[in-house]
Amino acid sequence: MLRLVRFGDRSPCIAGEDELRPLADAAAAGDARATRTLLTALGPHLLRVVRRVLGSGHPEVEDVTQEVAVEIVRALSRFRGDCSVVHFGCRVALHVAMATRRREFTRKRALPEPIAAFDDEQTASLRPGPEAEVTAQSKAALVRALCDELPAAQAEVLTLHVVLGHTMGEVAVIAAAPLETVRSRLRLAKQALLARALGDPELRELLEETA
Amino acid sequence: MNPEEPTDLVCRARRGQLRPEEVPGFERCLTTVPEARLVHAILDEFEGESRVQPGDDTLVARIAARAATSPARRPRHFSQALLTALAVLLVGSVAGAWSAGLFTPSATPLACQPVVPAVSGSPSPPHQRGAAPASPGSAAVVSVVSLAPSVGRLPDTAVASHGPPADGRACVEPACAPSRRTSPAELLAAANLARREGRSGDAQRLYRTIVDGHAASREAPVARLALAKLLAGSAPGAALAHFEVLAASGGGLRAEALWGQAECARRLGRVAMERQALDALVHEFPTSAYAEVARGRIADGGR
Repeated sequence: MLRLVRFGDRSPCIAGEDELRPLADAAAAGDARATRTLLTALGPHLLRVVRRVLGSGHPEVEDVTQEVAVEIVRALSRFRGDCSVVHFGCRVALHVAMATRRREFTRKRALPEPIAAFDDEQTASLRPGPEAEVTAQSKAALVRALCDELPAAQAEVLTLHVVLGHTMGEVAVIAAAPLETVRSRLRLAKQALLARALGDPELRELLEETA
Repeated sequence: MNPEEPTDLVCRARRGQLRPEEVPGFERCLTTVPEARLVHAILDEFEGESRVQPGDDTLVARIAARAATSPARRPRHFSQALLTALAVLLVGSVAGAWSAGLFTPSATPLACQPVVPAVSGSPSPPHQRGAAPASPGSAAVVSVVSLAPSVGRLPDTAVASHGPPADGRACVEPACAPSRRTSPAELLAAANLARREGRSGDAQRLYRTIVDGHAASREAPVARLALAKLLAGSAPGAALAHFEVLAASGGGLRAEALWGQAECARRLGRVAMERQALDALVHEFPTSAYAEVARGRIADGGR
Protein backbone atom coordinates (compact mmCIF):
# COMPACT_ATOMS: atom_id res chain seq x y z
CA MET A 1 0.00 0.00 0.00
CA LEU A 2 2.84 2.33 0.99
CA ARG A 3 4.45 1.58 -2.33
CA LEU A 4 1.35 2.43 -4.34
CA VAL A 5 0.74 5.68 -2.50
CA ARG A 6 4.32 6.76 -2.83
CA PHE A 7 4.65 6.08 -6.53
CA GLY A 8 1.07 6.63 -7.48
CA ASP A 9 1.78 9.96 -9.13
CA ARG A 10 4.56 8.52 -11.24
CA SER A 11 2.90 5.44 -12.61
CA PRO A 12 -0.68 6.19 -13.50
CA CYS A 13 -0.81 3.04 -15.53
CA ILE A 14 -0.32 1.01 -12.37
CA ALA A 15 -2.38 2.95 -9.88
CA GLY A 16 -5.08 4.28 -12.17
CA GLU A 17 -7.93 2.68 -14.08
CA ASP A 18 -6.77 -0.14 -16.30
CA GLU A 19 -8.74 -0.09 -19.52
CA LEU A 20 -7.62 -3.59 -20.48
CA ARG A 21 -8.86 -5.14 -17.24
CA PRO A 22 -12.41 -5.93 -18.48
CA LEU A 23 -10.92 -7.60 -21.55
CA ALA A 24 -8.52 -9.57 -19.37
CA ASP A 25 -11.40 -10.73 -17.16
CA ALA A 26 -13.44 -11.82 -20.19
CA ALA A 27 -10.41 -13.60 -21.64
CA ALA A 28 -9.78 -15.35 -18.33
CA ALA A 29 -13.40 -16.54 -18.43
CA GLY A 30 -12.68 -18.22 -21.77
CA ASP A 31 -14.04 -15.66 -24.25
CA ALA A 32 -11.98 -16.35 -27.39
CA ARG A 33 -12.84 -13.03 -29.02
CA ALA A 34 -11.76 -11.09 -25.92
CA THR A 35 -8.56 -13.13 -25.76
CA ARG A 36 -7.73 -12.26 -29.33
CA THR A 37 -8.48 -8.57 -28.82
CA LEU A 38 -6.45 -8.49 -25.64
CA LEU A 39 -3.47 -10.18 -27.28
CA THR A 40 -3.69 -7.82 -30.25
CA ALA A 41 -3.62 -4.86 -27.84
CA LEU A 42 -0.74 -6.35 -25.86
CA GLY A 43 1.15 -7.57 -28.92
CA PRO A 44 3.28 -4.46 -29.62
CA HIS A 45 4.30 -4.31 -25.94
CA LEU A 46 5.22 -7.99 -25.94
CA LEU A 47 7.18 -7.67 -29.18
CA ARG A 48 9.02 -4.69 -27.73
CA VAL A 49 10.04 -6.62 -24.62
CA VAL A 50 11.06 -9.73 -26.56
CA ARG A 51 13.06 -7.66 -29.06
CA ARG A 52 14.83 -5.76 -26.32
CA VAL A 53 15.73 -8.90 -24.39
CA LEU A 54 16.69 -11.12 -27.34
CA GLY A 55 17.74 -8.49 -29.89
CA SER A 56 15.63 -7.47 -32.86
CA GLY A 57 17.60 -9.69 -35.23
CA HIS A 58 17.18 -12.81 -33.13
CA PRO A 59 15.70 -15.66 -35.21
CA GLU A 60 13.29 -16.72 -32.47
CA VAL A 61 11.56 -13.38 -31.87
CA GLU A 62 8.28 -14.57 -33.41
CA ASP A 63 8.34 -17.99 -31.79
CA VAL A 64 9.15 -16.54 -28.37
CA THR A 65 6.42 -13.91 -28.68
CA GLN A 66 4.01 -16.67 -29.61
CA GLU A 67 5.10 -18.60 -26.53
CA VAL A 68 4.56 -15.46 -24.46
CA ALA A 69 1.03 -15.05 -25.82
CA VAL A 70 0.17 -18.65 -24.94
CA GLU A 71 1.67 -18.20 -21.47
CA ILE A 72 -0.42 -15.07 -20.93
CA VAL A 73 -3.61 -16.90 -21.90
CA ARG A 74 -2.68 -19.65 -19.47
CA ALA A 75 -1.77 -17.27 -16.66
CA LEU A 76 -4.75 -14.89 -16.97
CA SER A 77 -6.83 -16.88 -14.50
CA ARG A 78 -4.16 -16.21 -11.87
CA PHE A 79 -3.96 -12.46 -12.57
CA ARG A 80 -5.16 -10.58 -9.48
CA GLY A 81 -4.80 -7.04 -10.71
CA ASP A 82 -1.76 -6.15 -8.57
CA CYS A 83 -0.38 -4.30 -11.59
CA SER A 84 -1.79 -3.20 -14.95
CA VAL A 85 -2.54 -5.82 -17.59
CA VAL A 86 0.19 -4.35 -19.81
CA HIS A 87 2.74 -4.70 -17.04
CA PHE A 88 1.53 -8.20 -16.31
CA GLY A 89 1.99 -9.12 -19.97
CA CYS A 90 5.40 -7.46 -20.08
CA ARG A 91 6.52 -9.42 -17.05
CA VAL A 92 5.45 -12.71 -18.64
CA ALA A 93 7.26 -11.67 -21.83
CA LEU A 94 10.34 -10.77 -19.83
CA HIS A 95 10.44 -14.13 -18.08
CA VAL A 96 9.91 -16.17 -21.23
CA ALA A 97 12.48 -14.17 -23.20
CA MET A 98 15.03 -14.28 -20.38
CA ALA A 99 14.52 -18.03 -20.01
CA THR A 100 15.17 -18.40 -23.74
CA ARG A 101 18.39 -16.39 -23.48
CA ARG A 102 19.56 -18.33 -20.46
CA ARG A 103 18.87 -21.66 -22.18
CA GLU A 104 20.90 -20.46 -25.16
CA PHE A 105 23.67 -19.23 -22.90
CA THR A 106 23.84 -22.59 -21.10
CA ARG A 107 23.79 -24.47 -24.40
CA LYS A 108 26.55 -22.32 -25.89
CA ARG A 109 28.68 -22.70 -22.79
CA ALA A 110 28.28 -26.48 -22.90
CA LEU A 111 29.42 -26.67 -26.53
CA PRO A 112 33.17 -26.90 -27.16
CA GLU A 113 34.74 -23.93 -28.93
CA PRO A 114 35.07 -24.61 -32.68
CA ILE A 115 38.68 -25.05 -33.70
CA ALA A 116 39.43 -22.80 -36.65
CA ALA A 117 41.91 -23.94 -39.27
CA PHE A 118 45.29 -22.35 -38.58
CA ASP A 119 46.44 -19.88 -41.19
CA ASP A 120 49.61 -17.83 -40.58
CA GLU A 121 48.72 -15.00 -42.94
CA GLN A 122 45.20 -14.60 -41.66
CA THR A 123 46.16 -14.65 -38.00
CA ALA A 124 49.01 -12.20 -38.56
CA SER A 125 46.97 -9.32 -39.86
CA LEU A 126 43.28 -9.73 -40.51
CA ARG A 127 41.88 -11.28 -37.36
CA PRO A 128 40.55 -8.64 -34.96
CA GLY A 129 42.16 -8.68 -31.57
CA PRO A 130 40.18 -9.08 -28.35
CA GLU A 131 40.20 -5.31 -27.74
CA ALA A 132 38.65 -4.64 -31.11
CA GLU A 133 36.01 -7.29 -30.45
CA VAL A 134 35.09 -5.64 -27.17
CA THR A 135 34.89 -2.25 -28.87
CA ALA A 136 32.64 -3.67 -31.56
CA GLN A 137 30.18 -4.99 -28.98
CA SER A 138 27.16 -2.72 -28.68
CA LYS A 139 25.85 -1.37 -25.38
CA ALA A 140 22.75 -3.50 -25.78
CA ALA A 141 24.80 -6.64 -26.32
CA LEU A 142 26.87 -5.81 -23.26
CA VAL A 143 23.79 -5.49 -21.06
CA ARG A 144 22.30 -8.68 -22.46
CA ALA A 145 25.52 -10.61 -21.83
CA LEU A 146 25.62 -9.28 -18.29
CA CYS A 147 22.00 -10.31 -17.67
CA ASP A 148 22.85 -13.85 -18.80
CA GLU A 149 25.43 -14.09 -16.05
CA LEU A 150 23.78 -12.23 -13.17
CA PRO A 151 21.58 -14.06 -10.64
CA ALA A 152 18.03 -14.24 -12.05
CA ALA A 153 16.51 -11.78 -9.54
CA GLN A 154 19.16 -9.13 -10.26
CA ALA A 155 18.90 -9.72 -13.99
CA GLU A 156 15.13 -9.23 -13.81
CA VAL A 157 15.30 -5.84 -12.07
CA LEU A 158 18.20 -4.68 -14.22
CA THR A 159 16.28 -5.57 -17.38
CA LEU A 160 13.11 -3.88 -16.16
CA HIS A 161 15.01 -0.72 -15.25
CA VAL A 162 17.81 -0.38 -17.78
CA VAL A 163 16.43 -2.29 -20.76
CA LEU A 164 12.71 -1.53 -20.51
CA GLY A 165 13.02 1.86 -18.81
CA HIS A 166 10.75 1.33 -15.78
CA THR A 167 11.31 3.37 -12.64
CA MET A 168 12.15 1.56 -9.44
CA GLY A 169 8.62 1.99 -8.12
CA GLU A 170 7.23 0.38 -11.25
CA VAL A 171 9.82 -2.37 -11.08
CA ALA A 172 8.72 -3.13 -7.51
CA VAL A 173 5.08 -3.41 -8.57
CA ILE A 174 5.81 -5.43 -11.71
CA ALA A 175 8.22 -7.79 -9.97
CA ALA A 176 5.90 -8.03 -6.96
CA ALA A 177 8.82 -7.33 -4.61
CA PRO A 178 9.31 -4.79 -1.81
CA LEU A 179 10.83 -1.52 -2.97
CA GLU A 180 13.89 -1.87 -0.71
CA THR A 181 14.57 -5.35 -2.09
CA VAL A 182 14.39 -3.98 -5.62
CA ARG A 183 16.67 -1.10 -4.66
CA SER A 184 19.22 -3.50 -3.20
CA ARG A 185 19.11 -5.89 -6.19
CA LEU A 186 19.42 -2.99 -8.59
CA ARG A 187 22.37 -1.53 -6.70
CA LEU A 188 24.27 -4.81 -7.05
CA ALA A 189 23.29 -5.18 -10.69
CA LYS A 190 24.33 -1.60 -11.48
CA GLN A 191 27.70 -2.17 -9.82
CA ALA A 192 28.25 -5.14 -12.11
CA LEU A 193 27.09 -3.05 -15.08
CA LEU A 194 29.51 -0.22 -14.24
CA ALA A 195 32.37 -2.70 -13.84
CA ARG A 196 31.51 -4.21 -17.21
CA ALA A 197 31.17 -0.78 -18.82
CA LEU A 198 34.62 0.25 -17.61
CA GLY A 199 36.04 -2.61 -19.68
CA ASP A 200 34.53 -1.14 -22.83
CA PRO A 201 36.58 1.77 -24.28
CA GLU A 202 33.56 3.65 -25.62
CA LEU A 203 31.55 3.32 -22.45
CA ARG A 204 34.53 4.15 -20.27
CA GLU A 205 34.84 7.40 -22.19
CA LEU A 206 31.15 8.05 -21.62
CA LEU A 207 31.51 7.40 -17.90
CA GLU A 208 34.58 9.61 -17.58
CA GLU A 209 33.04 12.58 -19.36
CA THR A 210 32.85 15.64 -17.15
CA ALA A 211 30.73 18.68 -17.39
CA MET B 1 11.98 9.27 2.28
CA ASN B 2 14.92 8.54 -0.05
CA PRO B 3 15.65 11.09 -2.78
CA GLU B 4 14.72 9.94 -6.25
CA GLU B 5 17.34 7.79 -7.97
CA PRO B 6 19.08 9.59 -10.86
CA THR B 7 18.32 6.67 -13.16
CA ASP B 8 14.61 6.93 -12.26
CA LEU B 9 14.77 10.51 -13.43
CA VAL B 10 16.28 9.30 -16.71
CA CYS B 11 13.49 6.75 -17.17
CA ARG B 12 10.79 9.36 -16.60
CA ALA B 13 12.53 11.92 -18.79
CA ARG B 14 12.66 9.48 -21.69
CA ARG B 15 8.90 9.05 -21.43
CA GLY B 16 8.33 12.79 -21.26
CA GLN B 17 6.97 12.60 -17.71
CA LEU B 18 9.17 15.25 -16.11
CA ARG B 19 7.54 18.33 -14.63
CA PRO B 20 9.06 21.62 -15.87
CA GLU B 21 10.74 22.23 -12.51
CA GLU B 22 12.43 18.82 -12.74
CA VAL B 23 14.09 19.42 -16.11
CA PRO B 24 17.12 21.43 -14.83
CA GLY B 25 17.73 18.74 -12.20
CA PHE B 26 17.66 16.08 -14.90
CA GLU B 27 20.13 17.98 -17.07
CA ARG B 28 22.44 18.45 -14.10
CA CYS B 29 22.12 14.78 -13.31
CA LEU B 30 23.20 13.81 -16.83
CA THR B 31 26.37 15.86 -16.59
CA THR B 32 27.35 14.93 -13.05
CA VAL B 33 26.20 11.33 -12.54
CA PRO B 34 28.05 8.83 -14.78
CA GLU B 35 25.53 6.11 -13.99
CA ALA B 36 22.67 8.25 -15.31
CA ARG B 37 24.63 8.97 -18.50
CA LEU B 38 25.27 5.29 -18.97
CA VAL B 39 21.63 4.29 -18.49
CA HIS B 40 20.54 7.11 -20.81
CA ALA B 41 22.89 5.86 -23.55
CA ILE B 42 21.84 2.24 -23.05
CA LEU B 43 18.12 3.07 -23.19
CA ASP B 44 18.79 5.08 -26.35
CA GLU B 45 20.23 2.04 -28.07
CA PHE B 46 17.49 -0.31 -26.87
CA GLU B 47 14.79 2.07 -28.06
CA GLY B 48 16.38 2.26 -31.47
CA GLU B 49 16.50 -1.51 -31.64
CA SER B 50 12.90 -2.17 -30.67
CA ARG B 51 11.16 0.37 -32.90
CA VAL B 52 8.02 -0.78 -34.66
CA GLN B 53 8.89 -2.50 -37.90
CA PRO B 54 6.88 -2.89 -41.10
CA GLY B 55 4.74 -6.00 -40.86
CA ASP B 56 4.48 -5.88 -37.07
CA ASP B 57 0.69 -5.51 -37.23
CA THR B 58 0.41 -8.68 -39.32
CA LEU B 59 2.79 -10.47 -37.00
CA VAL B 60 0.81 -9.44 -33.92
CA ALA B 61 -2.48 -10.42 -35.55
CA ARG B 62 -1.06 -13.83 -36.45
CA ILE B 63 0.29 -14.41 -32.96
CA ALA B 64 -2.98 -13.32 -31.32
CA ALA B 65 -5.04 -15.55 -33.60
CA ARG B 66 -2.89 -18.58 -32.94
CA ALA B 67 -2.75 -18.05 -29.18
CA ALA B 68 -6.47 -17.37 -28.91
CA THR B 69 -7.33 -20.62 -30.66
CA SER B 70 -4.63 -22.79 -29.14
CA PRO B 71 -6.00 -24.84 -26.27
CA ALA B 72 -4.42 -23.59 -23.08
CA ARG B 73 -2.62 -26.48 -21.51
CA ARG B 74 -3.53 -27.41 -18.03
CA PRO B 75 -0.91 -26.95 -15.34
CA ARG B 76 1.46 -29.87 -14.96
CA HIS B 77 0.42 -30.59 -11.39
CA PHE B 78 -3.15 -31.03 -12.60
CA SER B 79 -2.02 -33.62 -15.16
CA GLN B 80 0.02 -35.44 -12.53
CA ALA B 81 -2.93 -35.49 -10.17
CA LEU B 82 -5.14 -36.80 -12.97
CA LEU B 83 -2.67 -39.56 -13.80
CA THR B 84 -2.39 -40.54 -10.16
CA ALA B 85 -6.17 -40.62 -9.80
CA LEU B 86 -6.44 -42.79 -12.92
CA ALA B 87 -3.80 -45.15 -11.59
CA VAL B 88 -5.57 -45.44 -8.24
CA LEU B 89 -8.89 -46.08 -10.00
CA LEU B 90 -7.24 -48.68 -12.18
CA VAL B 91 -5.73 -50.54 -9.26
CA GLY B 92 -9.01 -50.31 -7.39
CA SER B 93 -10.95 -51.69 -10.35
CA VAL B 94 -8.53 -54.56 -10.77
CA ALA B 95 -8.57 -55.36 -7.08
CA GLY B 96 -12.37 -55.21 -7.08
CA ALA B 97 -12.65 -57.44 -10.11
CA TRP B 98 -10.15 -59.87 -8.62
CA SER B 99 -11.95 -60.07 -5.32
CA ALA B 100 -15.30 -60.49 -7.09
CA GLY B 101 -13.86 -63.48 -8.93
CA LEU B 102 -14.23 -62.11 -12.44
CA PHE B 103 -10.74 -63.22 -13.46
CA THR B 104 -10.02 -66.92 -13.59
CA PRO B 105 -6.80 -68.37 -14.98
CA SER B 106 -8.69 -70.90 -17.10
CA ALA B 107 -10.98 -68.32 -18.73
CA THR B 108 -8.41 -65.64 -19.30
CA PRO B 109 -5.26 -66.09 -21.38
CA LEU B 110 -2.00 -65.15 -19.71
CA ALA B 111 -1.75 -61.97 -21.74
CA CYS B 112 -5.09 -60.78 -20.44
CA GLN B 113 -4.53 -61.49 -16.77
CA PRO B 114 -4.73 -58.53 -14.42
CA VAL B 115 -1.62 -56.64 -13.53
CA VAL B 116 -1.77 -57.04 -9.80
CA PRO B 117 -0.89 -60.69 -9.39
CA ALA B 118 1.54 -60.63 -12.29
CA VAL B 119 3.46 -57.74 -10.78
CA SER B 120 3.56 -59.07 -7.28
CA GLY B 121 5.19 -62.20 -8.67
CA SER B 122 3.03 -64.50 -6.59
CA PRO B 123 -0.31 -64.98 -8.30
CA SER B 124 -2.95 -65.84 -5.74
CA PRO B 125 -4.27 -69.30 -6.16
CA PRO B 126 -8.00 -69.60 -6.80
CA HIS B 127 -8.76 -70.39 -3.16
CA GLN B 128 -7.29 -67.05 -2.04
CA ARG B 129 -9.29 -64.93 -4.46
CA GLY B 130 -11.11 -63.13 -1.74
CA ALA B 131 -7.88 -61.86 -0.20
CA ALA B 132 -6.25 -58.52 -1.01
CA PRO B 133 -3.30 -58.53 -3.44
CA ALA B 134 -0.03 -59.46 -1.83
CA SER B 135 1.72 -56.21 -2.64
CA PRO B 136 -0.63 -53.38 -3.56
CA GLY B 137 2.10 -50.77 -3.27
CA SER B 138 4.24 -52.26 -5.98
CA ALA B 139 1.19 -52.84 -8.15
CA ALA B 140 0.32 -49.16 -7.91
CA VAL B 141 3.82 -48.12 -8.91
CA VAL B 142 3.87 -50.35 -11.95
CA SER B 143 0.38 -49.23 -12.92
CA VAL B 144 1.49 -45.61 -12.93
CA VAL B 145 4.48 -46.42 -15.08
CA SER B 146 2.65 -48.48 -17.68
CA LEU B 147 -0.62 -46.59 -17.19
CA ALA B 148 -3.17 -48.57 -19.11
CA PRO B 149 -6.00 -46.13 -19.88
CA SER B 150 -8.79 -48.41 -18.66
CA VAL B 151 -9.45 -51.87 -17.33
CA GLY B 152 -10.22 -52.92 -20.88
CA ARG B 153 -6.64 -52.21 -21.86
CA LEU B 154 -5.20 -54.45 -19.16
CA PRO B 155 -4.22 -57.21 -21.57
CA ASP B 156 -1.97 -54.75 -23.41
CA THR B 157 -0.23 -53.84 -20.20
CA ALA B 158 0.35 -57.46 -19.49
CA VAL B 159 1.68 -58.08 -22.98
CA ALA B 160 4.03 -55.14 -22.63
CA SER B 161 5.35 -56.49 -19.35
CA HIS B 162 5.63 -60.14 -20.21
CA GLY B 163 6.24 -60.47 -23.94
CA PRO B 164 3.90 -62.09 -26.48
CA PRO B 165 0.72 -63.82 -25.38
CA ALA B 166 1.08 -67.40 -24.24
CA ASP B 167 -1.29 -68.65 -26.87
CA GLY B 168 0.85 -67.18 -29.63
CA ARG B 169 -1.72 -64.63 -30.88
CA ALA B 170 -0.22 -61.53 -32.40
CA CYS B 171 -0.89 -58.33 -30.48
CA VAL B 172 -3.04 -56.10 -32.66
CA GLU B 173 -4.25 -53.63 -30.05
CA PRO B 174 -3.43 -50.00 -30.87
CA ALA B 175 -1.85 -49.61 -27.44
CA CYS B 176 0.98 -51.88 -28.59
CA ALA B 177 1.94 -49.58 -31.47
CA PRO B 178 5.17 -47.69 -30.71
CA SER B 179 3.76 -44.38 -31.97
CA ARG B 180 1.17 -44.44 -29.20
CA ARG B 181 3.92 -44.15 -26.63
CA THR B 182 4.71 -40.56 -27.60
CA SER B 183 1.93 -38.09 -27.14
CA PRO B 184 1.00 -35.62 -29.91
CA ALA B 185 1.96 -32.75 -27.61
CA GLU B 186 5.46 -34.19 -27.17
CA LEU B 187 5.76 -34.80 -30.90
CA LEU B 188 4.65 -31.24 -31.63
CA ALA B 189 7.19 -29.82 -29.19
CA ALA B 190 9.94 -31.93 -30.79
CA ALA B 191 8.84 -30.85 -34.27
CA ASN B 192 8.81 -27.17 -33.33
CA LEU B 193 12.26 -27.50 -31.83
CA ALA B 194 13.54 -29.18 -34.99
CA ARG B 195 12.02 -26.39 -37.09
CA ARG B 196 13.58 -23.70 -34.91
CA GLU B 197 16.97 -25.38 -35.15
CA GLY B 198 16.69 -25.53 -38.94
CA ARG B 199 16.26 -29.33 -39.16
CA SER B 200 13.51 -29.04 -41.71
CA GLY B 201 13.49 -32.72 -42.68
CA ASP B 202 13.10 -33.88 -39.07
CA ALA B 203 10.42 -31.26 -38.46
CA GLN B 204 8.45 -32.38 -41.51
CA ARG B 205 8.69 -36.04 -40.50
CA LEU B 206 7.44 -35.27 -36.99
CA TYR B 207 4.61 -33.02 -38.20
CA ARG B 208 3.57 -35.81 -40.60
CA THR B 209 3.58 -38.32 -37.74
CA ILE B 210 1.11 -36.10 -35.87
CA VAL B 211 -1.05 -35.43 -38.93
CA ASP B 212 -1.19 -39.11 -39.96
CA GLY B 213 -0.96 -40.88 -36.62
CA HIS B 214 -2.94 -38.55 -34.39
CA ALA B 215 -5.39 -37.01 -36.82
CA ALA B 216 -8.05 -36.52 -34.16
CA SER B 217 -5.76 -34.82 -31.65
CA ARG B 218 -5.96 -31.09 -31.04
CA GLU B 219 -2.33 -30.77 -32.11
CA ALA B 220 -3.08 -32.14 -35.59
CA PRO B 221 -4.37 -28.88 -37.21
CA VAL B 222 -1.43 -26.89 -35.85
CA ALA B 223 0.99 -29.56 -37.10
CA ARG B 224 -0.70 -29.56 -40.50
CA LEU B 225 -0.40 -25.80 -40.77
CA ALA B 226 3.27 -25.88 -39.81
CA LEU B 227 3.92 -28.72 -42.25
CA ALA B 228 2.13 -26.87 -45.04
CA LYS B 229 4.20 -23.74 -44.38
CA LEU B 230 7.42 -25.76 -44.46
CA LEU B 231 6.40 -27.37 -47.73
CA ALA B 232 5.14 -24.15 -49.35
CA GLY B 233 8.59 -23.10 -50.58
CA SER B 234 9.76 -26.40 -52.03
CA ALA B 235 6.55 -28.31 -52.80
CA PRO B 236 3.64 -25.88 -53.24
CA GLY B 237 1.41 -28.65 -54.60
CA ALA B 238 1.74 -30.74 -51.44
CA ALA B 239 1.40 -27.63 -49.26
CA LEU B 240 -1.75 -26.64 -51.13
CA ALA B 241 -3.34 -30.00 -50.34
CA HIS B 242 -2.67 -29.47 -46.61
CA PHE B 243 -3.97 -25.89 -46.70
CA GLU B 244 -7.14 -27.10 -48.45
CA VAL B 245 -7.80 -29.72 -45.79
CA LEU B 246 -7.28 -27.12 -43.05
CA ALA B 247 -9.48 -24.54 -44.74
CA ALA B 248 -12.21 -27.11 -45.28
CA SER B 249 -12.16 -28.14 -41.63
CA GLY B 250 -12.87 -24.56 -40.52
CA GLY B 251 -11.84 -23.53 -37.03
CA GLY B 252 -9.51 -20.82 -35.88
CA LEU B 253 -6.84 -21.59 -38.46
CA ARG B 254 -9.11 -21.16 -41.49
CA ALA B 255 -7.97 -17.60 -42.22
CA GLU B 256 -4.34 -18.63 -42.18
CA ALA B 257 -5.13 -21.72 -44.28
CA LEU B 258 -6.97 -19.64 -46.87
CA TRP B 259 -4.04 -17.29 -47.13
CA GLY B 260 -1.65 -20.22 -47.55
CA GLN B 261 -3.98 -21.69 -50.17
CA ALA B 262 -3.96 -18.42 -52.12
CA GLU B 263 -0.17 -18.18 -51.95
CA CYS B 264 0.39 -21.75 -53.13
CA ALA B 265 -2.23 -21.44 -55.87
CA ARG B 266 -0.45 -18.30 -57.06
CA ARG B 267 2.89 -20.12 -57.20
CA LEU B 268 1.30 -22.95 -59.17
CA GLY B 269 -0.38 -20.51 -61.57
CA ARG B 270 -3.91 -21.56 -60.55
CA VAL B 271 -5.47 -18.13 -60.85
CA ALA B 272 -9.09 -19.17 -60.27
CA MET B 273 -8.25 -21.00 -57.07
CA GLU B 274 -6.17 -18.09 -55.80
CA ARG B 275 -9.05 -15.68 -56.46
CA GLN B 276 -11.52 -18.00 -54.75
CA ALA B 277 -9.36 -18.22 -51.63
CA LEU B 278 -8.81 -14.46 -51.52
CA ASP B 279 -12.54 -13.80 -51.91
CA ALA B 280 -13.33 -16.20 -49.08
CA LEU B 281 -10.71 -14.50 -46.91
CA VAL B 282 -12.15 -11.05 -47.52
CA HIS B 283 -15.76 -12.13 -46.95
CA GLU B 284 -15.26 -14.37 -43.94
CA PHE B 285 -12.50 -12.46 -42.15
CA PRO B 286 -12.98 -8.83 -43.23
CA THR B 287 -11.12 -7.44 -40.21
CA SER B 288 -8.23 -9.88 -40.26
CA ALA B 289 -4.71 -8.80 -41.09
CA TYR B 290 -4.80 -10.93 -44.24
CA ALA B 291 -8.00 -9.36 -45.58
CA GLU B 292 -6.37 -6.03 -46.30
CA VAL B 293 -3.59 -7.62 -48.32
CA ALA B 294 -6.12 -9.89 -50.02
CA ARG B 295 -8.23 -6.88 -51.05
CA GLY B 296 -5.18 -5.24 -52.55
CA ARG B 297 -4.30 -8.35 -54.46
CA ILE B 298 -7.84 -8.75 -55.78
CA ALA B 299 -7.76 -5.12 -56.90
CA ASP B 300 -4.47 -5.79 -58.70
CA GLY B 301 -6.07 -8.69 -60.50
CA GLY B 302 -3.99 -11.24 -58.64
CA ARG B 303 -0.67 -9.74 -59.63
